Amino acid sequence: MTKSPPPAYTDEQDLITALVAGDDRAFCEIINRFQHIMITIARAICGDTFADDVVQDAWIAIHKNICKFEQRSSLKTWVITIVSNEAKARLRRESRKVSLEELDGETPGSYLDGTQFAHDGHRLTPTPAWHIESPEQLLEEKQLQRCINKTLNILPPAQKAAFLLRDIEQHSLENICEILQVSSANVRVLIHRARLTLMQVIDRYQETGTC
Amino acid sequence: MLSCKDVTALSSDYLDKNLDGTLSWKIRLHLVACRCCRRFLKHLKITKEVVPQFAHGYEQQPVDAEIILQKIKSQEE
Repeated sequence: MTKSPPPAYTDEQDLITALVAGDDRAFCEIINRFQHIMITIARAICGDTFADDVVQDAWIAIHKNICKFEQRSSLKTWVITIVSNEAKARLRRESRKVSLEELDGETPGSYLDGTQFAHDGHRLTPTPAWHIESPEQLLEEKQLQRCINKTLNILPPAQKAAFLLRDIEQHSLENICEILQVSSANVRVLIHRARLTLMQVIDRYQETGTC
Repeated sequence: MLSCKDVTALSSDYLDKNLDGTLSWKIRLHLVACRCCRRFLKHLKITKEVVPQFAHGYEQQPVDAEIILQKIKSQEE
């Protein structure tokens, strides 16, 4: 498998100029930069079955329309909007109604699992203690980084997309609702579930030193 | 008074300041009395801070951009 090369364009304006001029190297660069987030979004909206096709169609649309890109948003936001629209259109064509909540169910044993609480809503077991509570120290833990990345890659599709868009890409809630076509309340639930799953990875790491 | 289950369900919204003043106040009131939920909120806050910094490597699968570009061009023809 080919390893993605280091970015050749550090300035977005240079990259856009090269893309508009039809530079294949610049186009390969945006593929390297955005392919993963596009797949994540497509999977969240229309599921695994159609995600690869949707992303392929989105790339064709981007390649065809890059000269019309007016730069009213960042290149990444424009690309994300295109793949989101392609995925929604695909979902409509397939006449399938797949709600994100159906795609991403609650994980048994998670912090939100009802069995963790008594009838009156109080915790049955105390929150586990962490021996490392400093973010700086945690960031030094390479094995923990591997555990986090492994978990991010296996999060349910909608949770992963919502989490990446909010906590990593820093999109607004409104924007995420538009991209994923879900309500603000549902986006917030998806983000919360993803965070709790990742927090449990840190719990386990603190207790055992492994994933 | 909110229960631990309520606080757990609302904790991300609390940290993200998505809750109205009354609900935030009720959570703070619960936190004063509940050590477990204080710890829970603290750990969630650390998770929220640390994971995005760890996650630069989440795109672990390499991309073969040239093959994707070839496919795009062949479908455009």
